[in-house]
Amino acid sequence: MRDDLSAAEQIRSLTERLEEAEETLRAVRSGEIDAFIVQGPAGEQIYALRSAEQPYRNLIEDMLEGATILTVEGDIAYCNRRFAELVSVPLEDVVGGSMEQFIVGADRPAYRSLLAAGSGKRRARLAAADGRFVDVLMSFTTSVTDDVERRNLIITDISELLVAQSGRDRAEQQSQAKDEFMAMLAHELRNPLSAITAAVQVLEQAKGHESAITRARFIIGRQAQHLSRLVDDLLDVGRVVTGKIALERRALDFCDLVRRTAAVFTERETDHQFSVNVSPVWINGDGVRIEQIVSNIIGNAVKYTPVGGKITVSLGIEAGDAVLRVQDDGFGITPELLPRIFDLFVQGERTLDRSQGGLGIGLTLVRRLVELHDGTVGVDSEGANCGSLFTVRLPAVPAVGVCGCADDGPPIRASQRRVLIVEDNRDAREMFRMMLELDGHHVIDAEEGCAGLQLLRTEAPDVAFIDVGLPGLDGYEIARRFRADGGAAADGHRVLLVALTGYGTPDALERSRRAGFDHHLIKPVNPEALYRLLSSHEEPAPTGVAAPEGRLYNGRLNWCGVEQSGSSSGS
Amino acid sequence: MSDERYVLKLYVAGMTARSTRAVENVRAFCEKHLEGRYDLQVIDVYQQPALARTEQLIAAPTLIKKLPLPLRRLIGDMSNEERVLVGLDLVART
Repeated sequence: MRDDLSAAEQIRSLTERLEEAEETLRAVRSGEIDAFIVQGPAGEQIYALRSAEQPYRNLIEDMLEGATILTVEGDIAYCNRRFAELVSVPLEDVVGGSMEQFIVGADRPAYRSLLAAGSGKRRARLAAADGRFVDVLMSFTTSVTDDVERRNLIITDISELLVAQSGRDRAEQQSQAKDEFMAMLAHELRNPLSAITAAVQVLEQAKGHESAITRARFIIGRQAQHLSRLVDDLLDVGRVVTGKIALERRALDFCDLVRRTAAVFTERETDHQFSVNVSPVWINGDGVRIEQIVSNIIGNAVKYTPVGGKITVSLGIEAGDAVLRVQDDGFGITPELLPRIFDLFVQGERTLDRSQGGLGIGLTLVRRLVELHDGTVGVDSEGANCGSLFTVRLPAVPAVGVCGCADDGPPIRASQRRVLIVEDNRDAREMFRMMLELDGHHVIDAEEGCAGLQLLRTEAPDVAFIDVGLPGLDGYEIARRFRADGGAAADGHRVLLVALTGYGTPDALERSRRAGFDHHLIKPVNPEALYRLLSSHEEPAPTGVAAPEGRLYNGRLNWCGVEQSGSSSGS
Repeated sequence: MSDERYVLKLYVAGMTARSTRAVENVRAFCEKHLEGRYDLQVIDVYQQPALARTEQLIAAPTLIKKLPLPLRRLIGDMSNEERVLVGLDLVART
């Protein structure tokens, strides 16, 4: 019974195995299989019947990476289409050649060590046949087939990745610099404002204390000037960044300019030792801008040099260039900051109390202005506390006989004039009026346009200062209507019209000129410019008729404001 | 009997049309007849040749029923549902 069962079991087992073998043969015969697996001396060998490789082939040929199989010596045994594209060589010319030929010299040692090691990853640069360079990641693996050792090298093009990365880094840096700048701007504005507020308080309480009053006045003046300089810097840097600075270049006595600019500092900054050595040299430049360059660099040296420090200013000719050097023995510049020192909003840490202030835009302005003058500016510093040396090179030109610096005389007091002020800001109007009255002028004023035009017509002042942004009738309209009447007062003498505005752009100046203004003053009004303007009008033009535009504009020398180049747009 | 767990291994040779079809067929078959009571592993003999040796494979695709015993091997792309049902002992042999 038991034997019978065993025999039956055996038969069943044999039958099943036979069935399985038959089934296998049937599957093979009917083509249902892809591959045979055969035991070989080196383990299993898989013999694909057909097209088993093709999908891999397609995958490898179409992938974004370059794929190569190298001999251990580094010859290319196989490469995909993508690799041939990367190195710009026809596929048929790549195989058989050396891989090393496509790798730039500097990266070859690294490549060779990876090739020898047989595995690992590394960044490298490929030199394509068409002259392009491609940043790539090399990734090595090793495989052994039929006792033959090969290197599989996958090459990933990372150039786009690097570009995207650096773009992102730059944007992040800029955004951070901007945030820091805003914080600093608030700080820089608050400092002078708090000084002014305190000084006003002193003026209110210091009755009879003449010295305190004088000191408070002095501080208000200095801090207001400082605020005004901050705003000028901001406006300038905006123009520099957008490339809107137009230069008015002429032959310029650079030596004289440097000497005068340095003198301002040597008089004011008595806590520092100055040494100024200048030799005669002329350049072709815009006087205002060149002075800005020089005073920014010297000012920078003062800011970053502690009390008692030494600042050396030298000027000479080297190889046809005027070379200005400003050296200090101050805080110096760290190696990390050095390459970015001319970038916008970048500035060094100061251990001082920031009493000098600054927005980190001065050196950006300097570099841009120097470049606009076809020159270069560079900086050297051995590191922190080793001082700095700034060098400006500008092309030298032959000297011109006359001194390039005109109208630099002392302020001229004007004789008494009848003056109209049209200004809607009460405080500004009141202070402006006081300033003129203290100087002996007879002043009338109006706070809006219609009243202003009325006074202009009936009171016949010698000079009218008109704010361009007024409620009702704006300043341009007043000038236009008044000039349309004949441009003169009832008694026939010519009234000098002066535009008051916060805008100093060439467009703004041109607009004032077209409206019929004779002059354009930028707020805050520089007292010296004001006196000069009033005294230039000693002899009113005896005419009842508006002079032709060209003649009106002859007094161009008197156009005041930071944007001197703007007057060129009128000619 | 019907809640017995099936442990299946499908051996394929790369990504050929037949291999991918075998994977599809086996998965569909299992969902239809063995829903919730099967474990299926798909092994590419190119990627894991060592596994092929232990199974004594001679061709691919091969489907192996490890459990329930007895062990069964089926060769081909498993496109014939009847044959797979028989091969996996899900219907009696004739």
